[in-house]
Amino acid sequence: MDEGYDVIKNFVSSRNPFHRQPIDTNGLPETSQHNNGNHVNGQSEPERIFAVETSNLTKIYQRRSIAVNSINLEVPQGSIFGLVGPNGAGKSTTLRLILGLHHPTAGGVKVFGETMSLYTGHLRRRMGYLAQGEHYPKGMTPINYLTLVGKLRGMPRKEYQSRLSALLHAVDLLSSASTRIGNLSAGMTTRMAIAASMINEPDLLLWDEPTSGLDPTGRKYALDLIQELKRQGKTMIISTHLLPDADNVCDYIGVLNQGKLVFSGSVMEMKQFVRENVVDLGLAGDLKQFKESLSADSQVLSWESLSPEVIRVNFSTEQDFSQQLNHLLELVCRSPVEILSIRSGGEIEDAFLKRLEADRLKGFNRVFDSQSSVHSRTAWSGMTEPAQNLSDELANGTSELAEEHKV
Amino acid sequence: MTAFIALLEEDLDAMLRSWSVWMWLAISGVGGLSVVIFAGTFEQETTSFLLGWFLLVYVALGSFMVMNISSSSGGYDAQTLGTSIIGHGVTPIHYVLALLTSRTLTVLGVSLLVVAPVSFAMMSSGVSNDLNFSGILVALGYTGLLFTLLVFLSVTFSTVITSTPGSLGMIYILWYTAITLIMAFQAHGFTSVGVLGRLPAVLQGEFEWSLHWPILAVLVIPLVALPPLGIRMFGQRDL
Repeated sequence: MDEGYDVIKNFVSSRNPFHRQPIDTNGLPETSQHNNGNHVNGQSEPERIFAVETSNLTKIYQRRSIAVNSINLEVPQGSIFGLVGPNGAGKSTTLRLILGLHHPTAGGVKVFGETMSLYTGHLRRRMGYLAQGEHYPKGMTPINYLTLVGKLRGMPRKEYQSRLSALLHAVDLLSSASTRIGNLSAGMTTRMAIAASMINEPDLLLWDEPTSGLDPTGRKYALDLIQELKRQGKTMIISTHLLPDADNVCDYIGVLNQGKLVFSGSVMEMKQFVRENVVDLGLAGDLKQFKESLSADSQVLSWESLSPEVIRVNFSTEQDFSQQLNHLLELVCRSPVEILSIRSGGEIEDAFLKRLEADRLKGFNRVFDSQSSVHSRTAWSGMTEPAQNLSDELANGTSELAEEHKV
Repeated sequence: MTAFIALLEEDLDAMLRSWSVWMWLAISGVGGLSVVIFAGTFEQETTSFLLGWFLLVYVALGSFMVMNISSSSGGYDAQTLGTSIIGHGVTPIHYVLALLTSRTLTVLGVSLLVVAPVSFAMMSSGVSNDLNFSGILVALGYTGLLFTLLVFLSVTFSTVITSTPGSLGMIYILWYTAITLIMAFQAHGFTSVGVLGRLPAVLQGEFEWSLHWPILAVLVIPLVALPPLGIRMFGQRDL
């Protein structure tokens, strides 16, 4: 199967007209790097191209349930955007609205700058969709289905025939190529759907729960594939329940709750939301002496041993974090210990729960959310003014949480 | 255009694999063979009378099969249709037109494969033959038009009413009420000859344009109006 996924990577890279160099290892997405080159003070600023833009996107089913509630999203080209949220949050509906399969009740979707609808088939050909669940023709076999998809996407016969065999091999479905889709397991159906979504190397991939039903190996391969596709310059929107998956592969995250986008920004911002000046240090050596130094230090609020090698250090939130971190590193240098690992910032799960909680605590004031999101759209959430957005949200979210705790 | 051709190929393939299509062909084939044998054996009844009754029964019973074949949108529920067909660059125009073309070709293919040989066999082997070649062509034309209209109606209904049993129920009621009323108006009485009205005369080669053009208008105008309506209704669905 390793070899199989390499096949996908190879033919994606060999054919992709938008092939780009791999991103820098500093972890910033490529789009962010472009953005760093922007000139702010009256100088020319390259126009940002969005693969997907939604404007007050709303979907109400038969005047009964609000599935998507005034969502404003902008997904830069070449980035991976993760849609996360609890069950029934509106993730799948949002993807189907972006694909034009559902009609928005209000607002709209633009894909590659063009308004999306059920009639814009040429845009859908540039998009690969992996649906959640078993919405595939049960009577067809994977090979027949991929053939049909190749034909529907207007590929020449020779091209789709050669590609479907490579894809079936890549997703390890060659032995089940003639089995009816209705008889495939959930994981096999997901793998077939991954292959189908990539048959003509679309520029934009919408994957709904791509790792659901996959075994651990399949999940790892799927995540590797997503990262490879990102390196090839593809834009992806992935909906997932699995926050570690989103953490691993996404550049940006949108948190949906009850159809409402409660957060949209970079993964870093998401995590920083729960940062409380805490550093976990993995150490080797004489930890006893180091612990004594920590206890004696006035800048360290408290510390605790998480395991024999890991110590969690809490700083004061009133002082600058970077200065305190420098101070801690000096303390380490002065002690007979060696750093094995250092980690700061919260877990993405904590951030996710805190986001939902912060949204709940806004109460009736959430009525102003959609208005403010429209006004702030040009300063795209995480990339142009991340610090400002973050501090505002921290101020709103955490202060409200603190208030509740006081009560 | 490629999506249309691909859908057309796929749907025709599905029709060829459909047991109901083959069952219809087999049953009507046996019925047609019986009529040919009957016409070659008994001289009491003219071939125009026998063929008239065969066509009447064939249209009445065949309509049931035509409606069943045309109303199912490939057997897919809305989400599967969206995910596996429309999600790959297909528009409602491609889908509805491909469905109309494929189902019409299937229905016309199967029906003419039985009716045409039966008619000409009766003309050549009937012991009391009064059939006329051009009369048979006119009758075949009407049968084809009638079935085409029924396919268009069924496909359009299936785009409006998303539940297949629901759309089938509606089209059954509408169609059978309509053909019963038409038969009642054109019949010359409730007898075996009277029920056929002017059909035997048409099969014998009588042709009065003044009688035909209103019928043609009733059949052709919906054929022009129904596809845009079907596309529009399909385009308003959430898939």
